[in-house]
Amino acid sequence: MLSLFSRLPQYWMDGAIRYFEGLRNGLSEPFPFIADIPPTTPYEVIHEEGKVRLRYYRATASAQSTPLLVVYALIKRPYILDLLPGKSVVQNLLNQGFDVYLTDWIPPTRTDSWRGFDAYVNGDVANAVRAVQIHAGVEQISLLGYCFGGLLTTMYTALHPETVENLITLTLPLDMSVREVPLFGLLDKLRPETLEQITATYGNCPAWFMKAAFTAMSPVHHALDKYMGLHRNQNKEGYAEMFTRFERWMNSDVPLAGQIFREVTQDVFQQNLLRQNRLHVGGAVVDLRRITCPVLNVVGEYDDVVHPQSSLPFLECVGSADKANLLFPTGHVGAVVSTAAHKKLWPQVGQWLRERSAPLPVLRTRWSSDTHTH
Amino acid sequence: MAEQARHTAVDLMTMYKATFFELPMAGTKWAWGVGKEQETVEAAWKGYDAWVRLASTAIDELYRNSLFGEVVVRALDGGLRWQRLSNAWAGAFFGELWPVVGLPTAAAVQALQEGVQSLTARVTAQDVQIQALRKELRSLTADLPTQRKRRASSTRLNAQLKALPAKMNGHQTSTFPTPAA
Repeated sequence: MLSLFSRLPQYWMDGAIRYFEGLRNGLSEPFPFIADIPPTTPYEVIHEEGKVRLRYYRATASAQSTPLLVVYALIKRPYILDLLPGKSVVQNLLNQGFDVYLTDWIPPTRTDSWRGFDAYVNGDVANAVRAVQIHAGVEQISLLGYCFGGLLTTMYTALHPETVENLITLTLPLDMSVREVPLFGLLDKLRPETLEQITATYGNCPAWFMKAAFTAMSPVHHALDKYMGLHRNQNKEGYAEMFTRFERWMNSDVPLAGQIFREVTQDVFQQNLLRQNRLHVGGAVVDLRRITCPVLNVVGEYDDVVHPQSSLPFLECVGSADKANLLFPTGHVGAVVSTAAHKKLWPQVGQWLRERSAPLPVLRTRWSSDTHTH
Repeated sequence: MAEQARHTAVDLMTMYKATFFELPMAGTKWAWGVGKEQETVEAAWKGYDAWVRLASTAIDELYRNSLFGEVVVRALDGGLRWQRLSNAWAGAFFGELWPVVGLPTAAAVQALQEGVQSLTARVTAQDVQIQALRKELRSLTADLPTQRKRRASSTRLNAQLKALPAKMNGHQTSTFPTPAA
């Protein structure tokens, strides 16, 4: 018990140091507060354009024919999907035979404040899909979107359905009429003028604002309870390492481009336009009924960031005949890092994908400058 | 709502019982050597867990309060206005000063920072790839049968010997010449 009281101030001081180091870099620029952890799985960067850097992870088991593009959220860094051996979604999918491509979003600077859904969906995601098509030599790919990335993949699939063979959404924040998350009561009060003030002052929505919003979701947990948890589980093998890496990810906030911040807050969150098929992206209406490919909607039963009731109606909105909700007893981040998710959830996701992927051709030729067929 | 009120009441009762009855009782027993330390620790954690749940519920209720929301948003508005004012003031007075004294502007530094970050990411990725390839190469080299190495060297020797029939029949007075490349 004594060690707890000696350690607690140390944890708080570490947190304070991170904040002040961020502030020293300037209020609008501290992204991320700390550098990425070394990746667990080796990868190759096969494409970089706009604000996306595309990573390629080669399958370790016999490869499935349809490659999988994982679109990570624009919030925080993507290494949560490849945190530790045995707790890595990327590794889990590679071991199941999928070639995995992952979007590593480049944090926007002030000059990127114009970037909205159009730039990210019709620009970066569309280019990433093209890069995967060329690299893998396929016409259609499978898409997996996590949280905000789920929004991007959903919009992309509705706007460009011809390129998507399967769509998987993980903790998708779709129906924003659900107001079960208490912090939403506070965010509801954000007026358009306040949003304008934020983007006029910083260009983008700064990283510290994003961090403050996440911390405010459960302040007791972030200020005290997580350290108590560490103390209580200090003898559990691997817990401390997991905690350190997870904390580092929790502090890996990045800014959100000004335009997309306004659009997601006003159009998606406050007016719920995506759910009503009334959201405009790049001059086109995002009509979710245009999604006709097989859809798997993975929902965290105890998700306190995206309430399950906000994700579950997705299947009612799409035009697919082959669609399923997969409700798993986990939280928002637990869906990608918990032991239970890696033992039970991801094998199910892999199984679902395998059943819907085209069989592997006998000979697969990667497209290159002198090869145009496959 | 009724369900939530019930949970709150249960948590309140648990915290009250743990703090004022169970913890002092277990602590006293432990001090007198009748009880175990474990019982005291468990009572303390029970009270703490109930307190955390109560505190979280109270904060959630605060977020749902309309007045609190108004206050926070107005404070944010005010703070942002001050930030803009200070930015504008600093820009007006110092914006043109940096290039004069030979210092880069904030935009130039930011562009450089972005470039460095992009390069760092690429180097990190390549480094990881190199490590993986090294590992693969090591495992491949380890798997190579030693027999094949021996066979290769004897083939080379045979070739050299074939090139020197005369000397082989002599008294081995000269050393092997270096084979032609």
